[in-house]
Amino acid sequence: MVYNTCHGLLQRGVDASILMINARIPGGQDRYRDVQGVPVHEVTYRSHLPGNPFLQTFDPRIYRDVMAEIRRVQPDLVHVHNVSGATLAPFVACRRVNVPVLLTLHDHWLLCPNNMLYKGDGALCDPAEHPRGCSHCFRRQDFWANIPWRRQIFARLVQNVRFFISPSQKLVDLHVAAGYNPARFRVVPNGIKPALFQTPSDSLVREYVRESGLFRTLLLAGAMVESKGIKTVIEALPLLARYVDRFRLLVAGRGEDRFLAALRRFDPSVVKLLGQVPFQEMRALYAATDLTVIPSVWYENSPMVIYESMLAGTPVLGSAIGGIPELIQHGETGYLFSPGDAVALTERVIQHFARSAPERRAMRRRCVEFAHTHMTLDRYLDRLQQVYDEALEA
Amino acid sequence: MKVSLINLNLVAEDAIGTCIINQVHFFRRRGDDVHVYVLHPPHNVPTDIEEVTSVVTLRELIEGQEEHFRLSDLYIYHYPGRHALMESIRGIDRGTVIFYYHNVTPPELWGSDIGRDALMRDIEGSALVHYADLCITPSPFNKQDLVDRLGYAPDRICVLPLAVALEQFTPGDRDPKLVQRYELEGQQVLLFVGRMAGNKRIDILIEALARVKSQIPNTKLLLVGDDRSNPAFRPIVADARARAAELGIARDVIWTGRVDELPPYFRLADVYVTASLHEGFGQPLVEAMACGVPVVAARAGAMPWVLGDAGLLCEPGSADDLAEKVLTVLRDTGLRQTLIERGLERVQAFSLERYEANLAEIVEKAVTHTLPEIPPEPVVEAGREAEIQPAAEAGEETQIQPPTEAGEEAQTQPAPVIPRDELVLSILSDEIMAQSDIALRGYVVRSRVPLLGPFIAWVRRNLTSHLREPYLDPMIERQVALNRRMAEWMQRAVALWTASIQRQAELEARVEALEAQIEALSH
Repeated sequence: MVYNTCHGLLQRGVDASILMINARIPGGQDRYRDVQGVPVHEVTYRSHLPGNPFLQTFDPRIYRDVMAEIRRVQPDLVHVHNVSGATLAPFVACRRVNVPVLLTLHDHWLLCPNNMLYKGDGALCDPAEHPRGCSHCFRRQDFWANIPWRRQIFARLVQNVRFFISPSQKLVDLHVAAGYNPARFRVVPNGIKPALFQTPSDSLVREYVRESGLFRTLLLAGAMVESKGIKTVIEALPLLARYVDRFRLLVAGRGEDRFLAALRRFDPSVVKLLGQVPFQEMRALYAATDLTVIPSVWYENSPMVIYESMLAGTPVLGSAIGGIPELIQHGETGYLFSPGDAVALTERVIQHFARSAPERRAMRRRCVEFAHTHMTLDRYLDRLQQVYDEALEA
Repeated sequence: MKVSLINLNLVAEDAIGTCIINQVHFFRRRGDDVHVYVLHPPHNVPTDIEEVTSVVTLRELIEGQEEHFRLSDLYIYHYPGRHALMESIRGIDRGTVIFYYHNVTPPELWGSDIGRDALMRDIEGSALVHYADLCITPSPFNKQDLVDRLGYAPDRICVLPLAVALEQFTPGDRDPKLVQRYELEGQQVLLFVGRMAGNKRIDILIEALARVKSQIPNTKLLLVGDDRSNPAFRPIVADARARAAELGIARDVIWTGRVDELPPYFRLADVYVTASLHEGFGQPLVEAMACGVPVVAARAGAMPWVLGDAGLLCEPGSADDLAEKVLTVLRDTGLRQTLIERGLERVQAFSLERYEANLAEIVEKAVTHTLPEIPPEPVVEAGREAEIQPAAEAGEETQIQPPTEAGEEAQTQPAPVIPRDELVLSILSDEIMAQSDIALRGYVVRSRVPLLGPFIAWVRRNLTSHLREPYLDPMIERQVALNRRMAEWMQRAVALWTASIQRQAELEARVEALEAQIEALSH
């Protein structure tokens, strides 16, 4: 996404470069690269991000490097993406040299140490209800050490952010509920390149593409983790296998063993595990399936799976949570069901295959049209440049 | 992308056949993978087209047996009338579907009861257009027809005039052989080309000829086209002949029947005439204009649009008006020249290049997304596979083959169709056969001692082989053979035993029946 943004901006005559800091993997690199025409400064540190909650909030090493980069590049505007890996140091640095800064929100890190507003018992967290954090956090993955008054401190440290760019309205609403000023948010949906298909090299993927139309295929793509609602699909599988004729589930992605083991227990002719499928080959897989399912149970932001699926013409069956309903028109370009409800998921699948073939074809057509009108990189860049201009004027 | 063209048949000479062949060439040049599906075997088509043509049944299409069809990104359904393959249009749930409407003659104009039902069915079948994303039709007249009759959305209908082979249809001199054959020397020739169907109104042409002849006596009417393939044509032709005889112009009406090469016939003509009441496009009109022949046509169907200002129109159904217009064209050389020039200009709109450019535009607009191309998997030769198989087995390091493996497998996967007793027997016999081989054929000498292992294995192999090969192996093989014979003997015994049980049951049943009979007789 960042690469595409930078590449697009360069093509539009904007001088842009990328500083890539990854404090989460040890490496000790500091190198300048040219990635297909985009200048990238890549930094990793010798030791990974310490467990110290204060250093996880503000890492002086990152502050130093961001300062050096700002002095070197002399930017008019700094745009920060996914901030959780780089702490809040970039904002402090920008405040120091008084450069306007924008932040694209990818998750709920400003509000919640586990990024997801998702509690350990699987319930969702209401940011308004727990102004200081709920501390019942889901800690199994991507958990950041908590600090006292975390939300308040974070809000103070990002005070100089001109605009928060959010791909979905839902994320804005959650931040506003946690006390942020709604005027500071701009909704800019993501965009993807309508790239051409690549012939899949993986023989399994090729086989599935060739068999498209013979089965009623559901595709589950992404990480097989709890927050993505894999459990819902596992619960729905016996129903789907029973009530949907010639049903087949393709699973692309890696994840927790317990989910993969549960999926493996089903009839291998019904559930096909593909493991990690390369990004370029996913397009072909999307095009070959009948429905893509996103059963997430956390406040999903603006999942790229939906973008990619729609671009390939495949309607999406998504849980009505987070930014998902903003991308799917129920019955037109996909279906919505309440998160975690396996029966509702099954019903939607049955409903889809009960529709006539021309109706399903029309849905596919609408998906592509929607992707071409609402999800293109050009549209995203137009909108982004507007926000940039607004930020520079302010 | 993959393209499927579907039609009833593929005949090189007819208009739809030409259209399909043009499309195959067009898609091929674009680099698309194109295939034609027909119900009847292709007729007279070039081999390169025949190679991509499959004769299929509806079942093969809808059950996904045709991989190309199943994975196509674009389907073009040609509609010459209702046929079985059309029904597959209902089940296509991906890609883009185009309905290519080639016009159906209205049954009320058909002029015969023979085949009217078929036309009714064709008219009803055109409602299948609702299953398509887009409809292509050769004229605005047909477009309006679909909108009025079926309520199809006008913005989903594209008008794509048929392509005429302008390089074949060119102005030229009369062919002396034809002039001689039909005795046309010094004659004014009125030409009509088309099948002799009711809607073409041949009778009006004959009436008009009589009126023209009263003014210009040296005039003949040349009727070129199919007059016998359909039984419905015969009464129409017979009536027309009778009328001509009645009017005393039977010798001036020439029926050529179907001809192989049309351009020389057009070049014979002074005026092209048609009184047809329904034309979806009217390809002969374009061909006549291309050959530099002025056209007089009825103001009906798509003909006014096809002609533009390059021909004269007369009232439909009026022989008087038609005759008058023909006389005008024959007498007024200035007008005649203007019509010819305009006609030659007009036909440029119906060239193959224009057709392909328009089709490209439509396809571009219609196709939203495509599946990736998957080249066919390389086929492994049977011989090679056989070679690989034993090598893989030899490479395995299993020391001892578990003798009961086959038995276990059979137990875990019981086939439900076999009755229980037989199943047990078969398991038993398989097990016995597996156990009878005691030769440890998979046994490999090896040692797990680190580093020295391979050496120790080598020593053991070499120490034992001089004993094993001459003494041990023959003994074991003899034992294996004996075991096998015993196992077979047991199988036979078991089979005999089962058979005897069955026989016993049968005999008992027979005895019972006989006893019952004796009982019945003794009473």
